[in-house]
Amino acid sequence: MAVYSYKCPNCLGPLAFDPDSQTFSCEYCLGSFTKAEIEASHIHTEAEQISDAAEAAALNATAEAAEMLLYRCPSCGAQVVTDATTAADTCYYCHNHIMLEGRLGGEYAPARIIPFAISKEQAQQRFFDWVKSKSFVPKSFFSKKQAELISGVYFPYWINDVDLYASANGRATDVNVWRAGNIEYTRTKTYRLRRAGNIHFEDITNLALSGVDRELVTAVQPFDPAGMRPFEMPYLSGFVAKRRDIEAEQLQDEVERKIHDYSAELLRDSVSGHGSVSMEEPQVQIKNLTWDYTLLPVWVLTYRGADGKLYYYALNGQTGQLAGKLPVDKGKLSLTALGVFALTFILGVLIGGVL
Amino acid sequence: MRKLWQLSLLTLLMLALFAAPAFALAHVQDDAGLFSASEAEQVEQALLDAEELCPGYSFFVLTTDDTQGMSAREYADEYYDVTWGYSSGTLFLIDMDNREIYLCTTADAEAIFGSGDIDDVLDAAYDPISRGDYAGCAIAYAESASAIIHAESNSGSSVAPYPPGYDYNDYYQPQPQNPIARFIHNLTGQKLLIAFGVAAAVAAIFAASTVSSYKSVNHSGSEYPLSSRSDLQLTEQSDTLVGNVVTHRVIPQNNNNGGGGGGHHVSSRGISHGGGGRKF
Repeated sequence: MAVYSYKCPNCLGPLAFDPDSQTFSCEYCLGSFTKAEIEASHIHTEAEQISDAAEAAALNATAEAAEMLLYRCPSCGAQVVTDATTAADTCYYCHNHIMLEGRLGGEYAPARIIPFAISKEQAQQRFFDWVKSKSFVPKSFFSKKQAELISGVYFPYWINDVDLYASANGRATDVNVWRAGNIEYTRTKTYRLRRAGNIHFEDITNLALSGVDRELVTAVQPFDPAGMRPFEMPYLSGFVAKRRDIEAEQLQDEVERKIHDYSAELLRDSVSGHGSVSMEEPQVQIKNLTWDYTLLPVWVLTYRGADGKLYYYALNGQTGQLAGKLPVDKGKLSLTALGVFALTFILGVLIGGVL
Repeated sequence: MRKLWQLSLLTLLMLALFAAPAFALAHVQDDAGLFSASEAEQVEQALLDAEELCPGYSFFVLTTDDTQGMSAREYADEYYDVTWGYSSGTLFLIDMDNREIYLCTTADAEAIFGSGDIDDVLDAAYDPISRGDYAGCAIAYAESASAIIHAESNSGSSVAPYPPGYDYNDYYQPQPQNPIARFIHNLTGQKLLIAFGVAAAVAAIFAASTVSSYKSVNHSGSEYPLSSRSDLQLTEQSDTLVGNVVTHRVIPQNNNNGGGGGGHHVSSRGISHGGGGRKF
């Protein structure tokens, strides 16, 4: 399959998509170019595929050995191996940005992409600002040198637009209590409810890659659909891109469940003016369901803490939303908890002595 | 002969004069004019019997047409305070202005009469007065109240919070004058324990919530913003009334005005009384 790489028209240096300016910049001569200008300057070579199991084993490959790809970097000719799902990467030796055309073409051609809007420096800064704002993170945890690896990854998603008809029945109860003289009256009104209508859901987002921390990557959603662009390969330059390994059929059940839950919530919210409302499960008739294969930008950051453990963080490459687990400085927390205890106790004693 | 006639006439006149004050009875003041002469005598006799049964306690019946804006309780308390002050006894008021019968108890009688006892007296007195028999009502008070006091004095046991003849000042612990000493005096062991418990709970909740928020993946929004990415066009919308039921219950009335436990209160003159009333 073909391996693409984009070169600077001026100095033949590696070109990368710059999130700050949303154009393509050369890392050597600092020139800035539009997509049209660089279209002509890509080079490509043919990639060799490993089919021999023995060779795969020799390379210490995983179960996806059959799909392991050995290719030659178009710039420096070094042999580089990628795993089954990588569709774009950077050559480890010469730092050129590579796109694997075969993994982005045909049925694997993404329809849309949201280009990175947050640059690497911004991502790192956001991460450090977030950690700093948490007062119980051990002081030794965060130091700029500890950011082991931050890489911008385009993750693959299946995105749905749905048109459906949903209907649900329910009951509502209104209770009214009043007094006349020494008698207390209670009026209970019961209603039978019915709600039905046409619903349109836009951009239901489903991660289409296994082998990653789904919870972490999903936690940085939502993405803003306004940033969607038709897919073009140059956007990937400078970043890692992953090809999907979950097909639409495998996600059908999960999507239907989401549709069901969202429809129930919408129908429930359309009921107003009653005390207690309970709706039955809705009947859902899907009239139209589209699947768009889309690449969305996520900064993935690994951090080695002072305790030696590796911590993972995800940062939305468009909105900057951060997700991850932080360690807790037990000593500082205990001390603060003790302070809270002492303050509350003193307050209680003061109130008790005065009352 | 002439002197004998003059003497006997004088005697008759004096007898008549002394007989007249028989209407001003020692235990009855019928300002509302509810009793006839003979009825008043009967009531007086019943009260004398009561005082004989319960030595050291006064019994009195008061009726009025106009409480001058006071409640039955205030009127009864005021009369008692002015007449006897703080001394053991009971007063029964038939208040035609507020249409209420009221029993006022003081000192040892206040201690003896619990709210159940007061209800017993009011129950006994309510029957006659609901039939318009005011004298019968007063006599019922005399009989029931004296029976209760007599039973209490003879039983040897006292359900009263304080023994008869107590002096309030013996049991009242004045607060220390010094504000710091008063502060420490106010701080019981129980209060310290509660303060400790609450402080521990608050600190524990703080620590636990901090740890859980750090250890969980930071979900600061929802994965799918439903309201901005959805659109609902209702084709059917119906709320049909299928049931309309009204139930009712009678709220039990508390006939004891002045709170439970015998209606203990302090009158405007600063004297403690018990008691209770009932509208008729």
